[in-house]
Amino acid sequence: MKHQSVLADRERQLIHDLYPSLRRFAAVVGPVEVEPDDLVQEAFVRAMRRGPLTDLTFPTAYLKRCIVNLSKDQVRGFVRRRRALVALAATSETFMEAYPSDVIELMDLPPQTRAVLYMREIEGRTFGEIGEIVGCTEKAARNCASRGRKRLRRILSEEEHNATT
Amino acid sequence: MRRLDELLTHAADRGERMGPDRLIEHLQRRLEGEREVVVSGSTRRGTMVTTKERPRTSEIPERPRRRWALALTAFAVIAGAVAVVAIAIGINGNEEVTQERAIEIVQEFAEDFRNDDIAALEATSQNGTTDTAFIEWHHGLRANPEFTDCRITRDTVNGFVVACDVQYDPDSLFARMGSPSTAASIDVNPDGLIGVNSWPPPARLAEIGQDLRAFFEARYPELLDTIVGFDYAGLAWTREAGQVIDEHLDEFVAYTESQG
Repeated sequence: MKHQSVLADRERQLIHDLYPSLRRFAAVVGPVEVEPDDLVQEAFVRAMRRGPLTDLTFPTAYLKRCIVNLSKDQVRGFVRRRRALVALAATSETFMEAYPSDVIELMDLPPQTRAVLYMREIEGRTFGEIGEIVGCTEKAARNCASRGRKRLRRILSEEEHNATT
Repeated sequence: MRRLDELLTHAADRGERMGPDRLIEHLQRRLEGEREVVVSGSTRRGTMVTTKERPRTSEIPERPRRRWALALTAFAVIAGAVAVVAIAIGINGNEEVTQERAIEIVQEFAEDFRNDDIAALEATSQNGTTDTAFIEWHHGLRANPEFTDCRITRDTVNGFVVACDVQYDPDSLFARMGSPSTAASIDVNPDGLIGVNSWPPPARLAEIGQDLRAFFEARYPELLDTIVGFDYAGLAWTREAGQVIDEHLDEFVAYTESQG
């Protein structure tokens, strides 16, 4: 026997293959306070606790949905905490300073909207596929992208207008 | 204005990359004990031959019968409890919280916090405003926050706002690496219940979080998953995480200094 491991060789290979795209997806969808790698890791752990990764028919879709759901939970958690015991705003600014203002505006959109925009604009998926991944109808995914674009356009054009005047 | 795809690409590159190999190491550690997979040497096909998975339950729990009856009973119980509370509030409604009493209530809250009396904190807090994870993490870190110079900063129809300086134990992580104190602002409503407006984390906590991760990764990778989490700045707010950090604090301080 060569080695003992909790991960089978095929699972390792799958993780290798999936990591780059999931990492980029998590960086867009996750809250700015959370390391994208932590989200990816948590998504893998949750999937693998249910069984071998290789048993999943569509592992990318499953893991992306996990990342979206984890991100939504995180955002809810931060809101609750901000309202509850700790005002995080002061130190959240530290994170924000590291990014240009338009990226911050993007990160201000809800995780699901960011996920939809990313899968549409960067991955070129259809709204039907996107809906299946994030757990909504094709029409809802389309509306979500439209609202996200509008909101972002408004914020960014306002910002540009302020900068030029 | 930048194009949306540029913006998304930029956002997709944020943060430092762990890489798939390190991710696999982390997954190995996290799944150890929960899952057992024995991978044999190559067979003629070079594939895995033995796999023992953690037993999984595939049975769907039976739907409880008479669910409606249970729901009705639960509703009746809740409605009764609400009525009792409403009557109790009505009886005690005339008792006004004065400015002095509001400050006392905040000091009692601080005392309960220091005594790790989570039940008392929950009982005196406005609904859902006690974050037990935050309290447990502070205790694990031996931060022992002490409230001083409490004073009324606002007097409104919704009660008082009390501001206090919060001093941390000088030997704790916060005081040694961040700042020895912070300022908390706490609401005391007319019923004498508390709601924390703000309790900013000590200065530099976000940077300290990153340094902690680098330190544990370099020296104690087996403990990394204990301290890492989603609660704040990539850290887990648990008692165990606080204790682990506190136990290695001297070494962490020396490590950070050596890193400049």
